[in-house]
Amino acid sequence: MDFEDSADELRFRAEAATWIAEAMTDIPDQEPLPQAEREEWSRLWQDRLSAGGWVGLSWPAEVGGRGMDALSQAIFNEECAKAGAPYPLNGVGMMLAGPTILTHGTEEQKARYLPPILDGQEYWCQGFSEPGSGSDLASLRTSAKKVDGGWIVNGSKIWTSNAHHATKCMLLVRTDAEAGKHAGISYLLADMDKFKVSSLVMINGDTEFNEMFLDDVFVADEDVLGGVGNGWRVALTTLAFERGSMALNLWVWAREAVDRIIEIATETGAIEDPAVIDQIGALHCDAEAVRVGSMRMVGETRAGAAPGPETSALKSLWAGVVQNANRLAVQLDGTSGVLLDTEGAAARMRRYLRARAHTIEGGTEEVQKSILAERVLDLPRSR
Amino acid sequence: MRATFTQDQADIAKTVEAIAASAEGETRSFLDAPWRAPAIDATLLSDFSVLGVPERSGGVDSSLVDLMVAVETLGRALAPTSFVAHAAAVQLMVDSGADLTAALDGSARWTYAVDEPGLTGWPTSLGEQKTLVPCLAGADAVVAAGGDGVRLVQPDDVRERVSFDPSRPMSDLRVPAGESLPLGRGLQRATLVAAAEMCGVAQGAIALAGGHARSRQQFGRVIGSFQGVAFQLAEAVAQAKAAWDLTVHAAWAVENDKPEADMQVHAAKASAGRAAVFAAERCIQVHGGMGITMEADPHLFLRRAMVLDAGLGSASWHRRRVGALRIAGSR
Repeated sequence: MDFEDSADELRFRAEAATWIAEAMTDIPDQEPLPQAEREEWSRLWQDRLSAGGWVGLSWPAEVGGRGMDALSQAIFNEECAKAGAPYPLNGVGMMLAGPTILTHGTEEQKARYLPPILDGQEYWCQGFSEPGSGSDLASLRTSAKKVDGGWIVNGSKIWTSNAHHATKCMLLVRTDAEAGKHAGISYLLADMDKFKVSSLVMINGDTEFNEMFLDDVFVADEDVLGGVGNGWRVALTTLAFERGSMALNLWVWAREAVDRIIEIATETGAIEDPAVIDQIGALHCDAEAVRVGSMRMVGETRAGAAPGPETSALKSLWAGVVQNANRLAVQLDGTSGVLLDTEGAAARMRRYLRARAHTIEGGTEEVQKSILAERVLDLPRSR
Repeated sequence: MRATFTQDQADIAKTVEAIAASAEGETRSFLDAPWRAPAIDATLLSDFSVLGVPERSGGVDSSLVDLMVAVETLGRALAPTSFVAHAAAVQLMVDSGADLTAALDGSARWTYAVDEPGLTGWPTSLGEQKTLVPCLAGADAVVAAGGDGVRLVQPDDVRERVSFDPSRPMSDLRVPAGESLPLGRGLQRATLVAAAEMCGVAQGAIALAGGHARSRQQFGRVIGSFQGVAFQLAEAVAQAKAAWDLTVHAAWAVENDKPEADMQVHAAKASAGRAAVFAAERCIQVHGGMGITMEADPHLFLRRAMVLDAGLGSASWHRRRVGALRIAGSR
């Protein structure tokens, strides 16, 4: 059991951290900025990653990547999180679309789609969830009808992050209404210029995500990824990359949430309260468990095992730490959860509200618990 | 980063599991008869006492994680053994410079005396009165420890108490006057032994509850298909995993003198205590009416969990220590 970086990992981590620090010298703390400004920094950060050769770290050299392993990408993401770097505006393309196309794409698809992701020229979004299909994703109803040379798509998608910046969409559609729930699904690489995108306002006022309406959108045959009827399998690949990309990030965010509560409690004087010390102790225990669990998960994955259902425990633990820390932050004194006329109080409340999403996005808390019940405890499906 | 268990550690778990299985049922027998060390202890003491003892202390350079794995396995089986107390006593002495030979070859069985009446955490100095001393009957010597030192003693004024877990008997005693030896990381190491046993207790309780949830039928379905039942066990799984990760990591940190090792030990003990008590309570709940009978086994897990949670500093004390150290580290 060794929790230390190897010499190679240390070297790479240092190289990454040095570059990130230099690239960030003119970038302000993102936390208090309004969303529009944050997005501008995100665009700039995306360009810097491309220019610096930090996109496609784990992609093979022949498609323009750097041929490193998945851990290197996770370490780079971890260092970005530690440095408080902006979220790259094409994170979805770099972390989800690109790797999925690499895994399931034809040579033509790789040649068409990977270079613009590497250069930061084409942004992607993930058209999976629908108004009627949230946790039950495979029940999706957006339909694709066969026409000469391709498919005509009709339906709508929802909770789509970054759709207002993206031009390309990983689109799950039902190509066969008669086939089984999973077998009727295909995965399309769709052009978004005919999509109607309208933003949804989150409870904290941000407009990170969107609803998309597709009215007779044409997608060509050569843009079906992984073959007609194989969409579910391809989608699972995307979801696995989504988890992998955050392998070493979650703990950083959990630790930051605890750091912030200590900062706030110190300012207000609540830090002397034994009940607050007790709660900080409990939060730190769980935050550390996320960190150690992440390192163990990475270790197991490198030893050749697929990430197990225990990753659901990590997600759940992480969401709990961040939610509880952010709640404590707005309840430390009698007014900060009510009066929002200072910048600090407003930011605190925005974070608290944003954290409510953590037990909903990326698989709800209930889905994570079901995974643990079925795959760790071997209990029958409850749905 | 190679945060994985070795083949040797997998083998240790398998061997200890087989040994513990041969004592099955004995834990329950102590509800009606006074505790005595079970027959499996002879093998455990002679073959496994060197686990987690560095070469400099007379060991064979087995890692502390090896010991965690063995003790976790005993915890799962709820073994009524004195080995865990012995192993914790040895760990208290690892940094003392004393000759541990008799304890390491199993010819002497030790136990430990750390907790003191009226305190909820580690004593800052070695006091005279000790409580929560496990498995004292038949022990050859007692390792008494406080924050300022450790001492191998023959105790005075031994008083056997009524333990909530009769398979883990508890005594009070008085530590005779004498010279203390250096403690080093002894308290941290010994506390991790208790944490590891609690991680096992949590897993054992989850396994028992899971088995029941997979077979017991109500309303024409197995009860594990109800989310109300399934989700409380899923929560127990998440807590138990967190506790085990923290325990293994703390063992690595202690052994490698990492800067935050002390905080990590506190986090491991606090999390393991919470996980074990929670899992045992859920085990009782999931068993329904049977769960509150003496006849069924869930209460045995609760007994062990509560007794371990209290000893070597209670979970709430460890949690507050984590909070205080975390705050101090941020300043």
